[in-house]
Amino acid sequence: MQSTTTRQAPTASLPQRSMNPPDLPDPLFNLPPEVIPDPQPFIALCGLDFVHNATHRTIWECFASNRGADRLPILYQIVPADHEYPVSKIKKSYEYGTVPGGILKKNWIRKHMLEVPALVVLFADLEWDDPAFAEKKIACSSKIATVRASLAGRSTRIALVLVQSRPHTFAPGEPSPDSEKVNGLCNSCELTLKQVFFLPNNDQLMGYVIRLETALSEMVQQYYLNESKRVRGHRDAVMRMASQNLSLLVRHQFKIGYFNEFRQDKQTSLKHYQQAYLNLQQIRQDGGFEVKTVAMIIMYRICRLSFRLACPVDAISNFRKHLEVFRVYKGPLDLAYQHEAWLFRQNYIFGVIFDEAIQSGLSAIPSENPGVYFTKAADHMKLRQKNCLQFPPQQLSFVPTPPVDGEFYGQLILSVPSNSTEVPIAVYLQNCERAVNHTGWMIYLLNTAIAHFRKHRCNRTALMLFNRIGDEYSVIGAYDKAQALFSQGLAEYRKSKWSVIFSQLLLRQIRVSALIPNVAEFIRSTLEAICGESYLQQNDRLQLQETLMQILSGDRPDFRNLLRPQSQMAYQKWGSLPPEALLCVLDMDNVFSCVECHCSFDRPSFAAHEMITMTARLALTSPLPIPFSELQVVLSNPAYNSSCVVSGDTAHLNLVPDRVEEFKFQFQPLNEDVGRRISISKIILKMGTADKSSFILVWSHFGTTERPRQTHCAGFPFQLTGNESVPELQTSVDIIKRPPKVQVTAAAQELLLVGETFRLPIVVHNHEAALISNVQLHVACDDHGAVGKVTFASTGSAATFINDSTSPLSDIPPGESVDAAVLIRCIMGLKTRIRITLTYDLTEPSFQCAAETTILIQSVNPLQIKFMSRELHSEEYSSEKHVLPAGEDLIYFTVIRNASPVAIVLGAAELKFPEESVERVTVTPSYLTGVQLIEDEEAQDVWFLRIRAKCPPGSLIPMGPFVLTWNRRGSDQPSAMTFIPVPDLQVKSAHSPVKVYLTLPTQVTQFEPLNLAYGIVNSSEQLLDLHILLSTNDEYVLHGEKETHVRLGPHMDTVVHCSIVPINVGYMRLPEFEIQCGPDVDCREWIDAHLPKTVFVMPKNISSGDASVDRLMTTNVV
Amino acid sequence: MNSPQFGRLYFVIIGHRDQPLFEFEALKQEENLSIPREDYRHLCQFVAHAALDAVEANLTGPTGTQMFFKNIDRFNEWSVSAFVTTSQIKFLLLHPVRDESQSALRKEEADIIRNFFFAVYEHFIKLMLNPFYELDSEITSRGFREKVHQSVKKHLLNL
Repeated sequence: MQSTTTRQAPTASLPQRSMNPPDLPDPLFNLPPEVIPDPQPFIALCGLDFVHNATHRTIWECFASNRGADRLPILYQIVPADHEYPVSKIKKSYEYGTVPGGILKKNWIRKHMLEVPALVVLFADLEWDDPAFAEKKIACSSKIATVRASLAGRSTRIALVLVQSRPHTFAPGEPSPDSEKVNGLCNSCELTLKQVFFLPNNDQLMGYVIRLETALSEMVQQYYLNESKRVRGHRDAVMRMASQNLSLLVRHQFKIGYFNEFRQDKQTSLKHYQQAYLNLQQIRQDGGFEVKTVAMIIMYRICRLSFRLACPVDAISNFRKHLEVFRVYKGPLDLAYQHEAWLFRQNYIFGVIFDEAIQSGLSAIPSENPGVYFTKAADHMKLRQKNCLQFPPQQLSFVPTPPVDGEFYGQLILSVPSNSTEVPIAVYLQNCERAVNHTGWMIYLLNTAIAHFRKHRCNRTALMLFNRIGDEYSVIGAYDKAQALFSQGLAEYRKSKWSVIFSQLLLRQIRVSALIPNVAEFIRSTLEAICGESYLQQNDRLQLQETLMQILSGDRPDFRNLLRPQSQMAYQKWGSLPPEALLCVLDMDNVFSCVECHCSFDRPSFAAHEMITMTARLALTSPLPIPFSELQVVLSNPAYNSSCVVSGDTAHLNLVPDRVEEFKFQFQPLNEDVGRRISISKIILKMGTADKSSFILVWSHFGTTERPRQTHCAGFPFQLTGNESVPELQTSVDIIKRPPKVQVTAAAQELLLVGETFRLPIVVHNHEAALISNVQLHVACDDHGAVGKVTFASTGSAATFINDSTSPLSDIPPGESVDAAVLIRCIMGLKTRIRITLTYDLTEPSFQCAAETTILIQSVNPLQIKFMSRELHSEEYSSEKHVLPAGEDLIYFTVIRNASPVAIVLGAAELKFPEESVERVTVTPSYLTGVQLIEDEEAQDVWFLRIRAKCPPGSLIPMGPFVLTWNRRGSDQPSAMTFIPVPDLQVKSAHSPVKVYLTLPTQVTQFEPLNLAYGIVNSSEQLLDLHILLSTNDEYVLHGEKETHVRLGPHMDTVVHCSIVPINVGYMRLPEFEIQCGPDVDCREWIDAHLPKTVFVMPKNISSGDASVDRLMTTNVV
Repeated sequence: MNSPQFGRLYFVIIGHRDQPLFEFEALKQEENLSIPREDYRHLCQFVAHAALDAVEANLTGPTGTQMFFKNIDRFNEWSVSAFVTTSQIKFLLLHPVRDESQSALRKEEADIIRNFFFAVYEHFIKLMLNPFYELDSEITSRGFREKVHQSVKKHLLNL
C-alpha cells in the first residue's frame, strides 16, 4: 500500500511561495508566485506505472529524489500516455499589427513551467529477446503516435526509453546483433537512433538514471534554444514594423529572457530582461498599474539574476535606477497610496532578494545591507497608511474582496456583487486598502530591519528603529510593548547624553505609561522630564508637573494637556485603578530626577565616644515646588535607622526649586560597631499623602564605592545655589576606638645580642581620670618579615618565648605609673620594629581603649668563631682547611672574636667530637672562663687531639658542636648558651712510609755548634734500605757525614746526627735532607712538610733570656 | 509626508563616548517652520546618532585613514557627511539632498563641505589647545560658537 504523499508526488505543482509573512496579507502588487522560483526545464515522463510496478516506482524515485545542487535543475512530472497538453495557438501574421490586451499574459509562465514539457519521455519494458517483441513494438509506436498527436503544433521533443533487465552490451562500431530490431523500432516509431535510450534495470540504476538525465538535458536545451529563436523571430517581425508595438516587444523580450533562463544561460536572459525593461519604459502610462506590475516582475528577475551572477553592485544600481524612473509616476491622487504600496513592495522585494543572496554567501557592508531596504519599505508603508487614511471612509453595501489579476498581469478585476448598484472604483479600492494591517507590516519590516542592522553592527541605527517600532505600537494601542521599547531606548540615550532625543522619548514614555496605565513608570518618567536638565519646553514641564501634583494629592489626573485626544481614555483607566496601585516604590537609580539627593557623613571617621554626624541635602530642579512627607537614610546597620528620619511634621520637606535644604542627623555609635565601617545603603524619600497615594523614591547603590554620585547622575553635577561648595561625598564612615589617654614608654637603649635574653623595660603612665582595669600588655613584631626571628616572653614566671606575648598588668590608679618589662630574644642579627599595645578598660563610661607604640630594635651576633688546626710536628701553619693525617698529634684552636660593640663575658667552652675517631692527647684546662672581650678582641682555646689510626685516609670526621656559654657584661639575665657548628676534619689521604722528625733547640747562636738529630721512623711493613743525603751551603759549616746508609726494619726508628756551625746571623737555611730508598717509596712530600727549612741565628754577644729576643722567637714559631 | 526641509543644516561634534559635545543648527531666514523646532532637533539628533554606525563602519574599513567622508548616510531628505579628527572626534553635518533627481552629491558640493569641515577643525584644534577645555566635555565656549557660525555663513550658505 503506497502512502498518500508518495502517490501524489508525481503531479508536480508550483511551489506555493508568497513573500508576505503568513499573518499579513496585502492585496496590492504581490509578486505572482510563479515568478518567484527560478525556471527549471520541464520533462514529462509517461509510461511509468507508478502505483503497480515496483521497477517503475524505483525509476521514478531515482528521478525525483535527491535533487540536490549536484543534479541538473530539471522538473519531472509523470503524465499518462494519453495526457492532453495545452493546445498550441497558431500564430497569425496579422497579429503583429493588432494591439494586444495587455503586456504579459498571466498564464504564460505557468504554462511553460508546468504544462508544456520540453521533452516527453516514453518508458517501455522491452527486452531484446522478448518473445512478443513485435507486438510490443507496435504498442510502443502507437503510444508515441498518441503523444505526438496531442503535441501537435508544438516542437516538444519525444524520446523513448527501453527499460531492460537483460541488456546487450556492445562495443561502438560493432554491428549489434539486434541492430535490425533497433532500426525496426526506430522506423516504426518515427524516431532517430538518438531519441532511443536503454535503461538497464540493475543495481546501478541510479548511475544510469543520472547518465540518462544528462542525455535528456541536451535535448531539452535544444528545445528551449529553438523556442527562444522562434520568439526572437516574432520580435524581429514586430521591430520591422513601422509603428512598433511596444507591449508586444516587451512581451517577446521577456519570453526570450525566460526561455534562456530555462537553459541556465543567465547572461543572455539578463540582457533580454534589460531590453524588455527599456522597452517598457517607453510605454507611456502614467501611474499605470499594469506597467508598474510588469516592471516589478522584470526588475525582480533582473536583480535576482544579478545576485546569482555575483554582481550585487549591478543589482543595487539597477534597483536604484528603477526607483528613480518610476518615482514620478504617482498615479491619480485618490489612489496615491497605490504608488506608496508599489514603492514599499519594491523595497521589500529587494530586501528579500538581498537577504537570500547573503544567506548564500554574499557579504554586505553596514551602509548597504537588507536592513536599509526593509527600513525604506517601512517608510513607504507609513506613507501608504497616511495616504489611505486621509480619505473619508465611505462604507459599501458589501464587504469588498481584494481585486485579482485578470488575463494579464496588472489588470485587476473587481468582484462587485451583481445586486449592488454603481460603485466608484476608488471607494472600492480604498475600502480594500483599509483592510490592510499597515502597522503590523511596519512592525514586521522594522523588526526584520533591526535584525539585519544588528547583524551588520549598526546598533545605533537599530536603536533608532526600536523607537519607531515603539511609536507604531503606541499607534495600535499596544502600550505595554511600546513602553518596553522606549525604556530600552531611554537607557541607551541616557548613557550617551543625546538630551533632545532623550527628552522626546521621555515624553512618549510618559504618554504611553499614562495610557497603560503604569503608575510607577509614569511618576518616574515625569520626575525625570520636569528636571532642569530636560530639553522639554517650560510649558510642557509645567503641565507635566501639574499632572504630577494632582496624582500626589490623591486626585484623578486629567491628561488633557498631555494626551489631547486620548485623555478621556486615560482618565477612565486611572479611575478604574485599584487604590493600591497608587502606592509604589520607585527605584531612582539611573534616573536624572528633578530631585537631587546628596547624603554624606561629615567626617571620614568617628571615634567611639563621639556623635556621628551626617548631612543630607535635597535640591529640586522642577518648575514648581514639590512637598515630600518623609526623608529617611538607611544605613548598613539598621539599628541607627530610627535616628535618621525626618518626617513632614518636624521639618520643612516642602522643597522649593533651586534651593538646597539641609538635614542634619546625629547619633551615637554602638559599641559593637567599633572597628567597623558604617555605610549609607539607601536613601528613601516619600511623597504623596499616605492614605490616597504614596510614592517612595529609593536611591540604592548610593554608598557603594563603584558608583559614586557623579556617575550615578551621569555627569549632571549637583547644583547648589550660592557659593557654597559641596564637600566630598562621604558615603561610609569608620568607627574607630576611643583615643587612649595612657602613655606607654619603652626604648631599647642598647644593641641586642643574638641569642641573649634581653629585658626591655616599659613604663605605663595613666593620664585617664579614672582607674584603668584589665590592663594587658601585648608585644609583637611589627615587621612581617621578622616574625619568628624575634620572640618575646613576659617576665616573672618560667618564660617561654613566643611570637607575640601578652602579659597582664595590675590596675593603675589615675596619675600613676607602672613599670613593666618584656623579654626579647633574637635568633639572628636584624633591625626591626616591635609594636607594644596596651589595652585597658574604663568602667565609667564603659569603653575599651588601646594605646600603642612601636620601637626600633637592632640586634647583632657578638660571636665570630674560627676553628683552626695543624699537625703538631709540621712546619705548616695552622689553617681552617682541617685536612690532617691520622695517628699524628694535632693542635686544634678555637678563636672567639667579639664582633659587637657590647662587652661580653665568656663562660665554659666545650668542643664535642666523636670519641671513636678522635682522641684527646692531653687534657688542658679551658682558659676562657671569665674572660671578658670588648669589641674586636679575640680569645683562643686549644685542644690537643689525635685522629685514631684506624680512620681510613680521605674520610670525613664530623666534629662539633662547640658549645659556648657567655653573657653580656653586667647582665642579670641567665647566660646564653650558643651552639656553634664545627667544620669536619678530613683524614689526609697521602701516607708516607718513612717519617722524619727534626727538633731544633729553642735558641741557636752564631759560631756555636748546633746538633741536628733527624729521627727517622719506618712506618711501613717492610725492611727499608735508606740512602740519606745532606746538602750544604755556605751559611754554616757541617760536621759529620753528608751521606749515610741506614737500614730500617718495619716500625723501627733510628736517629741520624749531624752538627752544623752557623756562620751568619739571622735566618739560616738548614741542610737539605734527602732520602733515597728505591723507586716505590717517596717521602719528599713528608720532608717538605715536616722538616724546618730555616733557623734563626742569634749573634753571639746577646745574652739569652732577653725579652725582646724571646718575643722575636715566639713570633717566628707561631 | 511633510515637505522636505531644504536649506536646513545641522552640525554636531561627537566625543569619544558617543556624546554630543557641540550642536549647531543653521536655518535660513525665509524659512517657516512646518514642524516644531524641538521635533526638528530631535529628528536631527536621531539621524546623526544613527549615522555614527556608518562612520564607524568606514573607520574600520579600508578607508579608515581618511578624515572626510562625504555623503556617508542618507535619511529621507537628509544626507550626512562626516569628518573624523585624528583624535577620533567626529564632526557630522546633516544637509539636505539638493536636487531630487540628483542623488549623488555634486563635486563642488563635496569641496564646499570639505572646506567647511577643515575650517571648523582649525577652530577645534585651537579650542583643544586651551588648557581650560577638558577633552570630551561639552563645548560651551561662546567664541567657538561664533567662529562656527562664521564658517557656516562663509561656506555653507550657498549649499
